[in-house]
Amino acid sequence: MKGYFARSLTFLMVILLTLSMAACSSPSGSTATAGQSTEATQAPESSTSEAATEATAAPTEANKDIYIAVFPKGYVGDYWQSVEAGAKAAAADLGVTITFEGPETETDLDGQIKLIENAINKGADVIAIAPLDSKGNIPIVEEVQAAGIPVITFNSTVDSDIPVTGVETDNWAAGELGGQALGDIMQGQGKYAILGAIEALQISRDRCDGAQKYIEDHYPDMEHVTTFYSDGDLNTSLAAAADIITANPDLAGIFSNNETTTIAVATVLEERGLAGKIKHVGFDATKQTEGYIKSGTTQAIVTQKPYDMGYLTVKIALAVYMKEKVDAKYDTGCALVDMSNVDSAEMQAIINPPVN
Amino acid sequence: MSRSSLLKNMSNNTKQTMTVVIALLVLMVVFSIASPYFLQTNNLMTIGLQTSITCITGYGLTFVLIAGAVDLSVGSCIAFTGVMCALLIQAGLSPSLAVVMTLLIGGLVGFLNAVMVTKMRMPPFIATLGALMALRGLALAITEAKPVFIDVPNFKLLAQYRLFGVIPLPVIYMLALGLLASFLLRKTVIGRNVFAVGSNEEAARLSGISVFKIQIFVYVFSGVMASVAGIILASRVTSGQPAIASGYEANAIAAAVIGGTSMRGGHGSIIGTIFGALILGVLMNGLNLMNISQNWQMFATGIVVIFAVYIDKLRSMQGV
Repeated sequence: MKGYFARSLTFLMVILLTLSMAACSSPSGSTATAGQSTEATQAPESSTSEAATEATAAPTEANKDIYIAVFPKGYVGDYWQSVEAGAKAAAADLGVTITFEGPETETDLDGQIKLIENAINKGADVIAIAPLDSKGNIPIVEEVQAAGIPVITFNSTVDSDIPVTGVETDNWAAGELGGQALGDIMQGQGKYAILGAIEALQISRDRCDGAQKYIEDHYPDMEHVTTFYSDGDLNTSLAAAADIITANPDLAGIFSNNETTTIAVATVLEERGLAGKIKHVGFDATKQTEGYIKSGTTQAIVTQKPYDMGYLTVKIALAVYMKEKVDAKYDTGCALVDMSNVDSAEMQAIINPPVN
Repeated sequence: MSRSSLLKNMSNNTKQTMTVVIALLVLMVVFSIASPYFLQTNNLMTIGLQTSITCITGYGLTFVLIAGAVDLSVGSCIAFTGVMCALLIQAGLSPSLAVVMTLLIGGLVGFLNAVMVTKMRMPPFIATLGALMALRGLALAITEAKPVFIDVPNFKLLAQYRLFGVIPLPVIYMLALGLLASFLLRKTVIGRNVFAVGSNEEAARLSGISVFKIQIFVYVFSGVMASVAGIILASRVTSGQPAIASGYEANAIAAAVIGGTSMRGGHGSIIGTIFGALILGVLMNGLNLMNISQNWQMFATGIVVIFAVYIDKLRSMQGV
């Protein structure tokens, strides 16, 4: 019996220790654990965002009790952290309280739903969701509505009329921009392939199909050999990139549709000494992918404006709470990074966004 | 074990390995007909490169499985050690020192797994499942979920350099570690004791084998192998990626099981695991070359694993 108590006590102490460690380490990284809540009230940081600077909503002090719960698809990677930085900057500018919580992986629908349910119970005033799945998120959106809380979406959409508005990158247009860049760089000639991330995601398919359609319409002499989807894992993407190049020895260009696939394609091109010989247009400019532009492995990268997306989401959420009139949809736009503008202030704000 | 049963055991091992080799050859023939690029040197080297991660992680799992346990934490351990390696280099350590430290960290992870399984008497499945989640969480937490970029030009040579301009270094590591692991398992007392513990733990204990030490040995070995894989991946993409290698424990276990390692312990070989990993690698590469989608690849891999487990089951019913 004594042994049992001793062991239980040890176990309890280990749990307490772990909790205190988590508590101590959270201020630096607000996204330390998946379920952790991030309270960002008024940090007097300035924001530099062309798309979303002027604050519509009323004076800062009056907004303090307004709680906007924001749910990204995940919190891993530069992309979501830029969204978070934008959302927090907006929260500081507008004086509202936000939380920014995502599941650990971008396939954990159940995890996201649990986080949203918690926010309903915590009495959120507006809920902003980046739906993991256009169908799978319908029930939780209905649940939020039933609780009398207005919903908006950002980043992606859900097949439902309930969300008041949506803030997102037009991914088809982003794909078209990638197709246009690849067509320009390849001067409208030669075979090209597309490496996509997750096939089950509408936005992933839109980027690939948008690029392909644009090239079909504008560069009829270019030949599309394959659109191949890896499952989003970096090592699997490396294999897919290598195998596409092996299977198509006369390949002249590749378009990759997110950060992971872009790292994969650039790595394989460098490993095989094909940098510059096979043209590469990537997606999502980050610290690592920016290096491929500078080394000449990747000629151009289509990039979203995640900081703007975060900022605009919180701003629109507040407008919804204030019952102001909002548009049915907001496009946060995208941009093309290449050798000529990679060091410009505008692009660096996207590549190395202001930290939280 | 009497001499005759030992012989019988050996021949069954050989038989099992032959089955896997034949399966691999059949696959290769099919793919070489389906794609003219399959048998090119460059592509064969790519297969080696792609197989190395699964194979090296699989060596560790082979030891653990033969000892009658399991290690589910290796996928997370790959990410955790890769991230640690990147952070150590970023902190100013020389790449070689960082690599040594990372191997030690991998060993420490294995040691903690072993302590949970032996001293704390937790079922290996649950203990290492906990480690899987804890290590992934730790990898994400210490990096704030961002990739850690390695800005040292030499480091990437570790995985990207090609011997004689042809053979990627990870393939060399895979073969060298395979030789070492096979030697440990078959030619040393500790290797024989791993088999003994996996066949019958109680009997091994009674015959004076320290089950505790053997468990420590297999888990530390598995942790170190996972950290080798972590270092290779980090070098290949010149960054520590906290989200990488999710689910790779399944690949490593599959490679071992396809190669004839028994999930019930006491049975298995390193050469089998190499061929098991090659079957998985060839399958993925060949289907990629044929432009067959990732979804069907996963399906095909699953069927191969089920088939391999079925063969394992048949063997156990024959009382081997």
